[in-house]
Amino acid sequence: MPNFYKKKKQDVELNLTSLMDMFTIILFFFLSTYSFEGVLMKLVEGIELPRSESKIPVAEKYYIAIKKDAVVIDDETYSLSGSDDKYIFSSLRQIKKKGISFLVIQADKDLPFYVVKKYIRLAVQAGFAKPYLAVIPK
Amino acid sequence: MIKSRFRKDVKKGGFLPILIPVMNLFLLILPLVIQNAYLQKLTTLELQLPTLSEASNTTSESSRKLLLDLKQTSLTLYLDDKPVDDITTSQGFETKLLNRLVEIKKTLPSKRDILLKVDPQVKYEQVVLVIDQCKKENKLFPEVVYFDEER
Repeated sequence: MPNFYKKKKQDVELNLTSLMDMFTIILFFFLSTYSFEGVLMKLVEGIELPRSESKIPVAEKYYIAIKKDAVVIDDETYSLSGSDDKYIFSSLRQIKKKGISFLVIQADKDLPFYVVKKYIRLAVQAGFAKPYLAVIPK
Repeated sequence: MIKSRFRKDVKKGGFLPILIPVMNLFLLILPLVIQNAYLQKLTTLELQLPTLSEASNTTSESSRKLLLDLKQTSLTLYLDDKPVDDITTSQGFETKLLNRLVEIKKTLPSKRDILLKVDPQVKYEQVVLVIDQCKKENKLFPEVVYFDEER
């Protein structure tokens, strides 16, 4: 039996107006918050940085990351126990040879200061004049 | 007959109008989400190390030695090797420290540097907090010099 009451389907088009509105808002937001200062630096996973009022942008992308259980330089992981210190030192020397003047120190906020101090010393011995401590702005 | 056959070929898209109120909803939610978004930006905190040139300070004020000795439970401020204040590092100690530093800055307005001596067991977070108070947006003592006795 033929279905005479079958509803006629209408052809519809997707209204993109609200989508465009949404993208406009996002665009303005990103344009207003975009920072032209400093360089992008990778924050090593597993590190909780301390908060600070400092507004100095990151000047160099090279870093030494001191985690609770390891040290990371240029995506290379080293032991925190001290057994890898000579390799850490040679990695830092290699960075210095590239003509890099500043080294950023990413250290976990809960570490005792003597651990951070040890790697500040290594950085200074490798030729970096002063350490820059990576922080999250308040 | 021809008309109905022709109609069969037209693609149907009846579900699409549902997307319009969804998009309107997103339009409302989006500014709220963006406003509360937590964007993580990194900055750096400068820590100076002692240099030979620091020994040749010219003014009498800048040649005076201001030292902050940070320990696990307390911190002591020394001016010319004489203790001037002792503060317990309990919660909210930073306000007390800041007030004391402001007082010292009033007596030594041209002094820019402060030596920072840190006990090895002090948490790194606390060191950063103390450096922040010493600098206080570069208005107090912008040159925080790390004083390492073992050097």
